[in-house]
Amino acid sequence: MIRINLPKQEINTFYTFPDSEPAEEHCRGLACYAARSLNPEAWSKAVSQQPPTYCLGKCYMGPSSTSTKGYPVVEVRSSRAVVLRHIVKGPVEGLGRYLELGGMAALSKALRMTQAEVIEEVKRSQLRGRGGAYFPTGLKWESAYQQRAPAKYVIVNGDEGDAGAYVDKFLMWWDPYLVLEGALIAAYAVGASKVYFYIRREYPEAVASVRRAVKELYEAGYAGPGASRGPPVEVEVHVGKGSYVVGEETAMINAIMGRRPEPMPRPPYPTERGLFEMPTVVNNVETLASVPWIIEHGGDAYAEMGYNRSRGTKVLSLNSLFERPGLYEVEFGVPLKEVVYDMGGGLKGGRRLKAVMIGGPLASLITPEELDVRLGVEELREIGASLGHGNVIAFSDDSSAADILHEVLLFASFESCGKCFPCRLGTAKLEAMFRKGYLTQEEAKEAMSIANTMSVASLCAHGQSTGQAVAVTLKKFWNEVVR
Amino acid sequence: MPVRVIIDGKEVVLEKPTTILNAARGAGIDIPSLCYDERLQPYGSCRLCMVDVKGKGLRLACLTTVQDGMEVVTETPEIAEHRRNILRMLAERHPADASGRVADLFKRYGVEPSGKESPRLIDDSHPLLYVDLNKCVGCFNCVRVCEEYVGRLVWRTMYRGEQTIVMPETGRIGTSSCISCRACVDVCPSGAILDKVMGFAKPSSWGETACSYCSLSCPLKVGFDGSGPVYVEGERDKLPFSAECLKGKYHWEDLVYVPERPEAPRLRSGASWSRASWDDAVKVAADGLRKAIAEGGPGSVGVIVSSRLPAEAYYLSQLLARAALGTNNVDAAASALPAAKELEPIGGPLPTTSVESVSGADVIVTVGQVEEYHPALASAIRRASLQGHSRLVVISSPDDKLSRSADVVVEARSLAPAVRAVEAALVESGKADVEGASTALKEARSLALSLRSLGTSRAAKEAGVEESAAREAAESMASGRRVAVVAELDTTPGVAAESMNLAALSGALSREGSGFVPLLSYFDNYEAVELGVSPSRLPGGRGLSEAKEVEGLLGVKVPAEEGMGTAEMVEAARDGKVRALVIVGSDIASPSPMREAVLEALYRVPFVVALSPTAGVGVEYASHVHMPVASFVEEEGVYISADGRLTLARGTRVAKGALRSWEALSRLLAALGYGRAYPSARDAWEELRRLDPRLAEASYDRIASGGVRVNMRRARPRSW
Repeated sequence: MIRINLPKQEINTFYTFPDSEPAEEHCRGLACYAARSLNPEAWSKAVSQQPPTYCLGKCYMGPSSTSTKGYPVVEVRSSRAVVLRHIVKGPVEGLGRYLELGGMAALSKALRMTQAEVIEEVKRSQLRGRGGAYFPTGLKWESAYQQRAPAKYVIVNGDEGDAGAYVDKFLMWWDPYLVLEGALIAAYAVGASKVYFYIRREYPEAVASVRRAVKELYEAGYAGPGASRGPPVEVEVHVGKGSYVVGEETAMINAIMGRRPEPMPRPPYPTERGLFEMPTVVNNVETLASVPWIIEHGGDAYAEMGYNRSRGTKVLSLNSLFERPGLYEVEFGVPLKEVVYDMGGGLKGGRRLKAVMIGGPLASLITPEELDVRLGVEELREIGASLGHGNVIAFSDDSSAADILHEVLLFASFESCGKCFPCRLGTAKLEAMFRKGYLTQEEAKEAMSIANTMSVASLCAHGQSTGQAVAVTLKKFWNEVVR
Repeated sequence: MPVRVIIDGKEVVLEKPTTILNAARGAGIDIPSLCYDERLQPYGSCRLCMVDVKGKGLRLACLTTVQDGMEVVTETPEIAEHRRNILRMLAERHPADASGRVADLFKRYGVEPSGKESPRLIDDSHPLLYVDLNKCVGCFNCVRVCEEYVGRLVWRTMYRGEQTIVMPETGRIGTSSCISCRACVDVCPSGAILDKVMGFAKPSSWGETACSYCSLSCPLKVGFDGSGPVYVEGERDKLPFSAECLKGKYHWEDLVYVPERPEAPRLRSGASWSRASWDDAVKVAADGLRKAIAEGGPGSVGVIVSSRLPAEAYYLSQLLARAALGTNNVDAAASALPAAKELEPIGGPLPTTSVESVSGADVIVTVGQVEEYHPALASAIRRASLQGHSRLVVISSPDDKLSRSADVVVEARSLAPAVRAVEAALVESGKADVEGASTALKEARSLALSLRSLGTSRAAKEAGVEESAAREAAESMASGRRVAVVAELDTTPGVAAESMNLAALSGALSREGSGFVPLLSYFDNYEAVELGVSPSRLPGGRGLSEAKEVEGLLGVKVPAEEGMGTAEMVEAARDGKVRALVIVGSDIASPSPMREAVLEALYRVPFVVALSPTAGVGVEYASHVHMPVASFVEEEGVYISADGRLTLARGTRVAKGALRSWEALSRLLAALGYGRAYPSARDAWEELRRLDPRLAEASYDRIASGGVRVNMRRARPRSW
């Protein structure tokens, strides 16, 4: 039996902000770093802040702080609006408004279907997890559904820690009902009795909004042990304490159990043995926000959109260095060029584009020459990049590749959980190597070798992606980085 | 279906799937690893055990299960580079004087540790542990062994990333809730946690002994310095798993360095004790015993051997009763256990096979908490299971740690009925070996019949176990030819009998390479009975009717009348019918689940002589003469394990004021007027050898060179 709720004072040492909330926080996220020329003073405050705050989800107006106010552009560029269909018109104010918009119809429909039928519909949609791993959601649900266990759980992963990404934040803040409706459908489909909704501490607006929505859903009978219009599912909101790795699903399971949020080896997969050793589905916010549409319109309609093996729509978050930063719902297959120039409108103030990073901050740089690539999981993988959260960070030529990597490595080593050797030692070692802004030939070879070891041998995506990001970027920018 | 895999070009055949790491280790191929320990859940933090699986790429050997036909290469140039990278980064922060497995790996991959050391990371606050976290490699083995295995939270992980540090819950190990079990010392691969006594011991002489914490009698190497024993380690060469138990390795200190260990014999005067010379103590003891005999006759005195002792002490104890006190009231404490009687149909509670052979069985069944009382054997069983050699069926309480490695677990609240449910399933499925069973157990056929009419469903229901688990257990048991049943027997009646029945029905009693290993958790000295420490049996396995032979060989008179056994002596004592008792061995009341009853009985005996290394409650409050004898690490003589393995104990020093038990007994014999003198343990052994043909070949020299084994079991019970 796994021990839960270990002594708090010990577990708290893991987190950046275990029990104190600074009056003002300045964002040290990579999107704000990329845009530091827009407000050098704000960025210098972020650099001097100890401990640092990594990403406030205000990447559309970085460099930002907790007191920065403003909203991003929200646009739908796909043939059908799925995820942003409500908030493209602004925040959904209250459950009443959500119902007016046709909300909860998917849940009602799902409840009239069998669990297996719901899962089949999601499988047909070819929806893949938007958290970054892009694992087929239907298969995940099916695996949990097939387990025989005294209890099952659904975890909503609202720990959107990737700098540059803020779609989940706005979904939780402006349309929490949509996410919760998706979560309740998931709970019904797999037979879960409880939903844990984990939200990062950097999104207080999202926390408040989700809490209010849960209360309303309980009162209206859509959720809660005595629900009349929904499945009898409890919803419990967990708020983070400052950790990036906690967004990894097995780490999140540990966090909810009151253990150190360290990733665990898989198998066993959470759908077999997860939270409290019970079958558990961990789904990202945007994934669940896609589910109601799929149930309403059918999986086939969803799968009609998209490109190659990436089906449906994806919301991209563009950072403030773009002329038109914001959330764009697109269909897979759109060329990156279109994203950067048509949607983003190029860089602010005529700055020259040096590179973009998608799915960062632990991702490699994409050069302007590579922008013909179409948006898709496999397509990006082919050029050594990743789709991740669909966060698009533009870098202008005020940042050298070595400096960008150093900033990435500062973050990676600060957030490494410390469990596995390659990540714990490798992030720190590479961070030190890149500190001086360039590498010698000898060092570059060593860095390349260590980065390879990290990408191959690390336990979770944190170390693997960092290694991959360094190796690929170093290769692409070898002549610039190596002296 | 056996699984065939190829590891580094070598074909490995396994009884069942296991991890690549365990399969490789079982085949003698060492895959580098720092965070794997078979007692812990796989954790996957060091990442050093990555191997190349043909067609799949790199996989962690500790987490990947082999599949039939799998081809594994444990090191390629690429893997070596990854390993070197990880170790090099580790070495950059590791102090130059690396030790343990970490040092071996640094050497193997050619990296030089060059890290700085901080005095702040040294913690010398614990009386038994020395902690140097400069050497910590962050494998978290100590944290996990404490939490998962010992069930405490002494070692904790704090902070994260590069700052991650392992530290005691309170910051200092000395103020933590550490129970000094030293499991963390055992699993630490880098010597960051050291045993202060053993880790820094500088022995000037070496002795040997056999651990007396359980009946496996693991051979131990004992290091002595000027003050006494300071280092104990299992002798892997003589018994492979002997080094894997914490009991003998550490708990010997409880017998050696404790305040309850007197520095001279003690005599009771009223409620307190006074120190005495050995001569005086022996005289007082002899006078008291003579007085008791004068008042109540020889039948009112007796000798109980309470713990594991060298055979010489067993021999002299029975001689004390028979030749000096004139009574057959002599017995080993073990014979009072229900198991002794229940296993009489197969000749008593001694294993039918060597404990080493257990791990060679295709199927191993454990009944009860084997891990708790016999950790060394549990280690061997766990390894056989993990390495894919054996299927493991565990019938035990839900908290049994061995369950984790088991293929089938039958969770039992009450053991005997649970075992019966498995027997019923074995019979019902038609897979019981009734034919074989009836060659070993007279009642086998009628047993099978009654189990058939009982039925698995009802048996499982009565036992409160899952019927499916009972059936799976039976199926697993029938899946291999060689079956070993290992039963941990405490004082609960019925468990021994059921385990025996299960062993019989599964073929464990009749097939080659199979066996039944009953293990006694308390008073595990039944081999003493076979050596003559018994009210009805004489040395050499003779009955009282053969007394003439013994008398002829020894020239002493053996009392004709059968004496009282341990249980009867305790009962007679409680009824006030015992005038004097000699208790040889450790405190009879302390470890006993029958403590209250034993104490109550002892209080009513007017004169108790205790020959014991330390003073437990029984010695302290109920005895009148306390003669401090050697602990097992200081003893001399031949220890005989339950399965007949002989170890020659040769302690080079003995604590101040104490005598080896053979010497204390021979002095008492002399004081009681017994004519023969024993100037050395060897003299007693030689005499015993003449009386016991089973020991004929076992000279001290041959035993010392190792590997001498005798069969202490009676082939057939008297009633067969």
